[in-house]
Amino acid sequence: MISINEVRDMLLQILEVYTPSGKEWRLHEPLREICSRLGYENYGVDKVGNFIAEYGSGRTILLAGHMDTVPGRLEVKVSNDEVWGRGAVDAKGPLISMLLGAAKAKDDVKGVKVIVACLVDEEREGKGANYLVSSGFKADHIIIGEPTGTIGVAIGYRGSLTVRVNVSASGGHSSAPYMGESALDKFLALWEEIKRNFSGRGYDETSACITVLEAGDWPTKLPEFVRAIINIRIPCNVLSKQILSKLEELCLEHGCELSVLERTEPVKVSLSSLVPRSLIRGMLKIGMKPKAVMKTGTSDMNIMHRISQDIAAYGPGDSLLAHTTLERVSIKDVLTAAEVYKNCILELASISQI
Amino acid sequence: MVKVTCPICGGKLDIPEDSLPGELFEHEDCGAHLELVINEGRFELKLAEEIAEDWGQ
Repeated sequence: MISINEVRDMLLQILEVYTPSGKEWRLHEPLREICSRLGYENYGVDKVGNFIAEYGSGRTILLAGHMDTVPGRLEVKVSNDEVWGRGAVDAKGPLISMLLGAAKAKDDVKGVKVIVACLVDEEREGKGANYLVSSGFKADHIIIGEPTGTIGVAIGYRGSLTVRVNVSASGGHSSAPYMGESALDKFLALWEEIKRNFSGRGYDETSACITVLEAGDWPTKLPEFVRAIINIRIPCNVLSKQILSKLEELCLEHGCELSVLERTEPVKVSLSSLVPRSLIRGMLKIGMKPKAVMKTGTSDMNIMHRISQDIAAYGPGDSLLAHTTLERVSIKDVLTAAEVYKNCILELASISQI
Repeated sequence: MVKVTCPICGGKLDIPEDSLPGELFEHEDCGAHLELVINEGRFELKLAEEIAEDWGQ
């Protein structure tokens, strides 16, 4: 039986290790210690640095969280019931919940193999999840560890298309901008068109934003170049190639160069699938009122859907705090989510017995 | 499985016999999101809360 103080200490232990994408190896040793304390006997690191803990044999239930965070160190501290730090919500809190929940299920579960995979690179290109897909990893049921407010079951994520736009122009003197040609003006005209076409404000619409913008190099020169990165999020009824086709058309019209940096299709599963149903039942059994949610973002669920279509995401934490300086997670929510993961595993295992 | 009437379109859904009150279902025929209620041992469906939006990953 793990005490609330031990859970707090586990959270502090992994939050104190700064793991922006590429530095996930720093968590391997702390995770070995945590797995040992929780009674796992089988754990290790795969070829791309994913940390994997497992037990049992039979139909496979995979719980997949991620070790990396976005960049930016934050102070790690405890305040009342909450643990603060980069990754508290996205997604080290869910990761600890998964390890706890799977450990709790271990003695009561039969006829299934349970794997907790702590993946690399989720915040960048999904290298960890992509490796599982390309290496032929098999799982029958997948639970993705991401924050869903502790009571939400995420049955869908938007897709993502990230493009680089380069623009060049002949420039001019800033004293007579009307006589010259500004690359930034060309880009801004393109951006107005992109905004007009992709002005969505919800999970079921397409939205776009500029995430990187460089322009110009001198206070009295019209910019001769623009280098920009634009990220577009794609709802479930749209394919990335439709969006790309429109972007190519607009870039051609405005004399801008386009190249694709990343492309991920949206994903949506049925509420009646075994994993969402087991998560919901897992919450109902401890008196919670679950709800179904659709995510505006993109996650490893978009990739791992290729391994099993019986998949959903769940975890403790307020997703609004992810990627902010106010990131924190309630220890009570981490424990509640662990109970839900445990119940979900037991539900899925009982189905496997039939 | 138990056949239960959709309160929105009147069609039928197959609900697993071991379903718990509060479980959520989607009626594929009309797209309604429904919640199970057990009334004196009888399965009934009511309109559930709309699928909510959640942000980020």
